[in-house]
Amino acid sequence: MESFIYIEPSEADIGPITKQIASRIKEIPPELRGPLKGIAIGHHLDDYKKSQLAGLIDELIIVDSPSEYAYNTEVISNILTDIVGEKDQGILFLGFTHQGMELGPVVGWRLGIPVMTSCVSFDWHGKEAYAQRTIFEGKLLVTCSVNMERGAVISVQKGAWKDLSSESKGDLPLTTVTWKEAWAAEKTEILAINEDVAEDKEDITKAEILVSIGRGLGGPEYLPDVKELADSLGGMISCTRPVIDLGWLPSYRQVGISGKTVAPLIYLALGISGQNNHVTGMDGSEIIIAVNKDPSAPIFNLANYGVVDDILEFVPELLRQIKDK
Amino acid sequence: MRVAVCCKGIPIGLNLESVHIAEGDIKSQGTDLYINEFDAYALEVALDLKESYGAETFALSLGPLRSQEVLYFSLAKGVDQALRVDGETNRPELAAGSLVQILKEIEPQIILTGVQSTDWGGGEVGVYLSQALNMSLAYAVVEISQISDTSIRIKKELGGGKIAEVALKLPVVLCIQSGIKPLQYVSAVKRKKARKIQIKPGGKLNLKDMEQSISGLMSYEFKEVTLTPREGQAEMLIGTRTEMAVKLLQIINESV
Repeated sequence: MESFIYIEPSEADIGPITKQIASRIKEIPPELRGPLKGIAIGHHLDDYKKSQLAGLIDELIIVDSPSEYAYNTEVISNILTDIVGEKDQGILFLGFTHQGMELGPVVGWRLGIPVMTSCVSFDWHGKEAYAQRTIFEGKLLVTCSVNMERGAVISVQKGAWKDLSSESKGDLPLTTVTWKEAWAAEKTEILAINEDVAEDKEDITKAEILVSIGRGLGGPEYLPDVKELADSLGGMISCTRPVIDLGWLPSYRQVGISGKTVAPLIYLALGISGQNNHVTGMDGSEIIIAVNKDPSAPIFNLANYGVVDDILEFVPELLRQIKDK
Repeated sequence: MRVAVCCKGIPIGLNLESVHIAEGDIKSQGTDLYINEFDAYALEVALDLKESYGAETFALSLGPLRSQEVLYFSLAKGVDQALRVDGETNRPELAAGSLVQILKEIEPQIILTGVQSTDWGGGEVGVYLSQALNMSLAYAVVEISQISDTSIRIKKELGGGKIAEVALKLPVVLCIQSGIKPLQYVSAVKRKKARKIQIKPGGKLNLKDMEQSISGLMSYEFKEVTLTPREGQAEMLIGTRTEMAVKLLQIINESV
């Protein structure tokens, strides 16, 4: 038995999801999980990032892949399938991110091992593990027993587990795997990678206060009130995916799996139900205040403070109170 | 060019009482089924390919008889043919496996799915189809820019605001991200007309036929469905609207 974590390329630091997964899996007795190995494909880990992994994993595997294959999920799938499949009982953990949503089921299908996506809890007992995942927009939770005898693929929701990493502890054993031509892409070619750049230079990841809207706002005609509120509080506007899809706001304001990850001091969630795709991008906020007219909205499970009210009535009231002062 | 789009019927407004585990699967009691919101965007892409490239379009759905509503909706939107695979499952590997045979018969150059389903909350079916049918794959597709006889150019999200421009060999499975096209309204007249079009049988979900190929993937069991715990529940502000607004502003002021 060996456990592997796929380390996605990230910006300045090791991605939070990698640290969260490693922290949880390290708690599992080594006789169950075996050695915990990180897999990084390409050379996106500098010395600083490697030092962040010391103590979190038992070994780092770096696959020496050509730079043109960065973000090529066909190639990454080939590599992960080979490395995890080399062991009779290889367990692959990865984030429930865009990459993880694609890679996990590919590896599971090819190796013929169970795939459990979007997990929020994971307890390992002998040959079985109990994993929980949310269903029906986060309102319900299903518990599954996963047979671990032949290996498994487990993808984990961002923020489901705590990052327990501390300062670097000692050396991290490193293995470099040389590139194999058999891993080369046959069907997929990455032509370019582009970043969605903010036109008005507002960077929501740097805001101390975010006033964030969901489609519960009802329509773009109500945006001026929200903008006024954000300005009055000295914050910025952010939003959920459906708000982008509806064309109410530009995509660089999106928080969530396909948008930005934010951690402001105050996250004021207006008309946001609290689906996983969104909350994984904002659950690191210091104080979350949710306003929603549905008292059973999952956002109230996460928020520090909640108001059950119609935001179309409540936001004007907030503005009145600010003006009165 | 043939384009197949997978459209899942999703129950709306379920609660703990209407969901249970039976026969190794998650079952929901007989509510109406609506097209999975993410698949609705895949359907828009199929119709766009019909208009732009003259593609012959097929809508597929796995589900019980009541899931035909999803296919009538697809027909009303303008797909050429609709096929239903009879059966019901919330296991993604089974759902994918049940669609493989009919997709082999259709031989599409492009298979479209939504990026995930709103009930199960995963995005496995399109990925599994690409593996079962040995097709190229792109996940979270936000644009189709060019199609030739042998390849397709698309843009896909990588997360965190990054977009990859990718060329893929055909045939391909594209898991379509929401918002790729605006959802078009369908008139009541079109919906009524569509109900006169025959929905073709696309086979049956038969576990025995698939067991050998996906038994390893199926090595898990559903044990229990519960409400998502509310131990982290928010401190609710109460009082009149004005009182709640004042309190909320006070919390913000004291925290910043």
